[in-house]
Amino acid sequence: MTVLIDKDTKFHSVALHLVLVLLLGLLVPITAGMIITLEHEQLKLEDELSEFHSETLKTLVESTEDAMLSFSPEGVRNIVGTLLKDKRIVSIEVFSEIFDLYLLRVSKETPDSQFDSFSMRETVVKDGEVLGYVLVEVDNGWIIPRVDEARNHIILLFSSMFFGALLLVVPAIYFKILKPLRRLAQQADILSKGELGVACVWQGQDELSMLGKTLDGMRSKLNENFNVMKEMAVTDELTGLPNRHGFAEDIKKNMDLSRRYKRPLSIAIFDLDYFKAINDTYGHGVGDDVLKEFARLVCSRIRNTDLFARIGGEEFVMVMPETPIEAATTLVNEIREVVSSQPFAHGEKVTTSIGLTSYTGVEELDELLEAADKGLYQAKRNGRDQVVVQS
Amino acid sequence: MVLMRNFCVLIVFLIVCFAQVVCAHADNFKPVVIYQGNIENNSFNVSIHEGVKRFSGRTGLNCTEVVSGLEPEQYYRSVKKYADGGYSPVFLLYGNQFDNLVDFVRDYPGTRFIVLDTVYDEPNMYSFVLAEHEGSFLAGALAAMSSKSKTIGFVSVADIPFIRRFWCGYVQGAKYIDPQITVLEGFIGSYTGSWFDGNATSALANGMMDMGADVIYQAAGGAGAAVLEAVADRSKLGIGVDVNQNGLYPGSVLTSMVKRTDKTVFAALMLAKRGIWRDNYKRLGLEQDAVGLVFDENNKSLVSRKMRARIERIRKDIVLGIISVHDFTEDLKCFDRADR
Repeated sequence: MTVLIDKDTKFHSVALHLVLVLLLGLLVPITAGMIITLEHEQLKLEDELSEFHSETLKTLVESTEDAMLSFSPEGVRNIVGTLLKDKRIVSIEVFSEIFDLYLLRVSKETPDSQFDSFSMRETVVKDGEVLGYVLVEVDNGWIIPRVDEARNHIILLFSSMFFGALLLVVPAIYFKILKPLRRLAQQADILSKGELGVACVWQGQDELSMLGKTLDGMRSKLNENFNVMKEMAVTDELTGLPNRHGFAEDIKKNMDLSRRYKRPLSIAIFDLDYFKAINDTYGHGVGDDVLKEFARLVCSRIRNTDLFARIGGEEFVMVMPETPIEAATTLVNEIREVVSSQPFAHGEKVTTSIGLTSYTGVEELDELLEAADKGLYQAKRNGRDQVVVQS
Repeated sequence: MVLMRNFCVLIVFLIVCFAQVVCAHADNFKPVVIYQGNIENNSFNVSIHEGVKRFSGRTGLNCTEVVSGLEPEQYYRSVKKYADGGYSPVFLLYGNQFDNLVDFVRDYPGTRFIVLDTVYDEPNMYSFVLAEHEGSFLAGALAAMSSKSKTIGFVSVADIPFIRRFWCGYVQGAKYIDPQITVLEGFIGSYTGSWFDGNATSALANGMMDMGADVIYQAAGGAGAAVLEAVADRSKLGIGVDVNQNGLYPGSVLTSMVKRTDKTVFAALMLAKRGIWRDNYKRLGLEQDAVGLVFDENNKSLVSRKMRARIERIRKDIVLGIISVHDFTEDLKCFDRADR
């Protein structure tokens, strides 16, 4: 039983372990993938912004060079006006060094709306002369809502991946591993309780099914062996009659019935006369043949309800339910006469001495057998080949 | 041989002549700036003088500075003298200071004239215009924010389109903040020495304060300081012009609408020096910091952070074109934003 409980615990821990491994195996790479993708997305956006920043600066430098030289704010204004429409640009300064004047200086920043901005400045030089500089500030905050949006998408994507994987893997694990494991455990449990008769059918070719099949094969083999052994335990191998074990159970049942319903029950003990001499003279083979023939002879004479068993070397017992002592006496006498009237395998006649007694409802089996034995002893003493009733 | 030599001489002569014609403007950098009245007492002149000084300091080149009398006739004579003397460019600081300016300029096609604040369509006249209406818009907005009586005033000298630009920008700014606000206006008129007649302007300002005005913007040149004084005397607020006048009567000057004429003159001289005469018209406004309001220690107590932020936002909106300030000189009409 202890072993069984151990198995049970182990089984649960396997399920738990599988769930943990599954969660870990899915969560860790998915989380890692999510983080990497997010980082990548953020870097991409940052790159995009910084590229935009330098592009803007380049455009401005190129387009304001002439305006710086000739001092024409109008031209700059048009370009900057277009550029400023972009949400990313916070401020632009175009300063003409030559004229010591801003061609344009504009910022979207006010004391109440500040930006987390990053500025780049480039000096405009033409033919070795510093014309001025261009400064562009871009809003770093621009990427925040975009990163948020990207994060939402990524989280959605990865969670659907995770749950999708769970949806596939969990049933697979349940049906392919956990359920067969539980069945195997049940099967083992039944086996361990000794219920060898309960069959367990396995279909499929996977390892667990094969294991289950093997287990069931083992069970059926064990069952066969056990049945054979059980048979051997209650049967006399030589004569095919019940032996002392096999007979004890039946006789007890008959005694119980007799006592309960106040019905007569008689018991007789048979002993072959001079059997030792047969053995000594003709060998054990012949002795065995004699015993077999004797058993067959008696069996052919008794009624279906009577019990006949071999309880010793040449000693047999016979139980006759529903038979008063008188009828029993007649019956066993008939048998004795049949036995002694014909020759056996070795060509000689064999006689038998019989002790007979009846059950009164109070004796134990031992006492009953003892009484019959006493009758048998008396019959031997009286010269054999006779029936002695012992009350 | 002789013929050949003569021919060569002729060719060389022609080449020299042609080259001279081509390079005439570029080589002939002999600028003159002609002031009217004196320099020291006129904030406008002071500002110009600053620009000239900075140009000389930077480039090491000389720029002749001349002071003429207040009479238009005197000014005209000075200009004629230097134009005849081969000076170019000639800075006409006041634009419309004498009659028949355009005819005069046409008489000197080889001379370049640089005028401030006025635009003429003449090939040898170059106009530098400051967007005073934009700066005045901010002044009007701040005045409207500060006014408790919801009546503000504007004092100037000559009722000419150039001054009306200030007034118009001021009204637009005030109405932008408070469409219901009353803007009083007054001009003392144009006469000799009127730009320095502080008595007349202060009387006008007092009259406005009697009518309930509590913020008065003056665009009155040399006669403007008197307005600020009159306002300070009655614990009202004034708004300076041209240069930073916040410190004249600390606590009583709300702000100053500065015109960086110095920057304009510097840029004009620099363009002339470099021989760049591509456009006849250059405009400098809020986006160049050429006009604007001054916030310093002297008016710190008068302008809250919130007001300042609002002014900044309006400035930005004007620069970005979200608010467009109408320029009176374009059509001699003043659009009132609230009425549009």
